[in-house]
Amino acid sequence: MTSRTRDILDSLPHRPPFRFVTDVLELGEGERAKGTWHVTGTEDFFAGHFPGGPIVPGVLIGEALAQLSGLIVVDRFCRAGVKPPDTGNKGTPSQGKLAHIDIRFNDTVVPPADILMESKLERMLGSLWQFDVAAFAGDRHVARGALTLAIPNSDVVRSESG
Amino acid sequence: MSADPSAIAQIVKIIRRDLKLGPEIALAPETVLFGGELDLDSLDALLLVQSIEKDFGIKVPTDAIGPEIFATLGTLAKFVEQQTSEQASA
Repeated sequence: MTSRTRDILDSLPHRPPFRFVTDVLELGEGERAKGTWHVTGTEDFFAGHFPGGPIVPGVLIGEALAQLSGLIVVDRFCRAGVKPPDTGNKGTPSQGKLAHIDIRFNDTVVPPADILMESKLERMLGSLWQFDVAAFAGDRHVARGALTLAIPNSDVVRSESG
Repeated sequence: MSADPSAIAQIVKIIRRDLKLGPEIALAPETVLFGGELDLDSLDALLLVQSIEKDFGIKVPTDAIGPEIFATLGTLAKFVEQQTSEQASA
């Protein structure tokens, strides 16, 4: 991971134990991102999901894909020379939010695993940023779908998508 | 010229499905999409465009999405009909 991608990752407000992007493999022109979530199997939620039979919660794969998509937002703001909307880690109401998610889960992920994630900006409409997303575990396509982030001050970033 | 009834019927089907509208909600070509009884918001519009693209097999240019197209169910159907025709002949 380059220092730039590290800076962009650190611009997300999420922090452990609720940051699910471990590594950023690619950030493409404010349009695409690839990253991984390294699941060790020691995470606390596996104690309950499920006892004796751990499975990565699908809802957290969705969250991880949303976080990866958030990197595209930050990247796009940075490329435009604009400070991203309040991406500090204080959880203020003015930062971006997940507005909609529609993901199909094709298979389960059992830890330990490296989940490869991909996101592509499909469309910007007002404050809404819509992404196509997918997740893979090894050669298995475990999730795919679309999600939408609501990002304040999106009008300062010129849309080149759609 | 008004939109083709089959295009209107297909969009009515999409709106009912996506917005989970019951049969008590009347949908007609003159139904206002923003404000009025439906009162769609921008997220509804974005998701509706996504469904229209999938169901009609067309690409809706983002810069075409605006209040003129989304004025009524009829204006939306007319736009979809035009896009379907243009993209089929391209």
